[in-house]
Amino acid sequence: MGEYEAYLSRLKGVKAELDGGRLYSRIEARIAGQSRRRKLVIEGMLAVMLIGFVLYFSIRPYLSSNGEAMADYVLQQETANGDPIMNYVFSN
Amino acid sequence: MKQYEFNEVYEACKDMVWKLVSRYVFSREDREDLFQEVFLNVHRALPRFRGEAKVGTWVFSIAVNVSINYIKKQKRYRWLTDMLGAFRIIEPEAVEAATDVGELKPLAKLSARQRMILLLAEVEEMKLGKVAQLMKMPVGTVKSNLHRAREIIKKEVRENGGI
Repeated sequence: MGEYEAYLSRLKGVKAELDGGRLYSRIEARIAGQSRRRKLVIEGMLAVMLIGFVLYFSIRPYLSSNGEAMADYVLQQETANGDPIMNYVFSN
Repeated sequence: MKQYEFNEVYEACKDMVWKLVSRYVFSREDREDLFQEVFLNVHRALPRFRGEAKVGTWVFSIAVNVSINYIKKQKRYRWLTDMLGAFRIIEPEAVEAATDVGELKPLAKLSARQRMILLLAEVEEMKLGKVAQLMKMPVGTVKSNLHRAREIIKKEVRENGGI
């Protein structure tokens, strides 16, 4: 038998004791940990989406791309308080 | 189609997977880590298992792929272990234990794929076609990898006396 064949037969003879029960408990614990993590990630994503939704609708009037919403807002303010420039002119 | 329970699959395949991982990696920690990784992957993939292959074959193919990726990942982070050892952030003995391959030393000279091909073809005595199927590569590539692996092992055994 050559050196290589002898090496292969030693390799075939490699034996390690398997503690199946202990490893199964570890696997179960890791599976439980993973599903807990997955649940946390999903909950985190939902929370971020909710915050984003609330933020978006609270600043939406200022985000108008054509400026109409902002103009409406300024007009509303002016109507409610009078023209700020004219107010200044008359108060001085 | 039969729905498999995880513990049923574990019981049926644990010895086969353990045999493979205990020849593929060398330290007790690595064997246990890799063994767990394999079954975590099995657990994740089990709902998608349609029973096209035998459950043992399916688990074995997962074990082969997970083992190869495990070694690749380990090699990628080897520099970090060496550095932590060099700065004595972890004990040099721990680095030695993590990197010393002990009884299976010559196998460490092979790449992750070569090591798996050699184990499947020479130790598990699988046909090259089956190895190619498991490794998802052409038979020709398996043959050339096996040839290269044999040469490396022969050289190692000649120079260092093997195990």
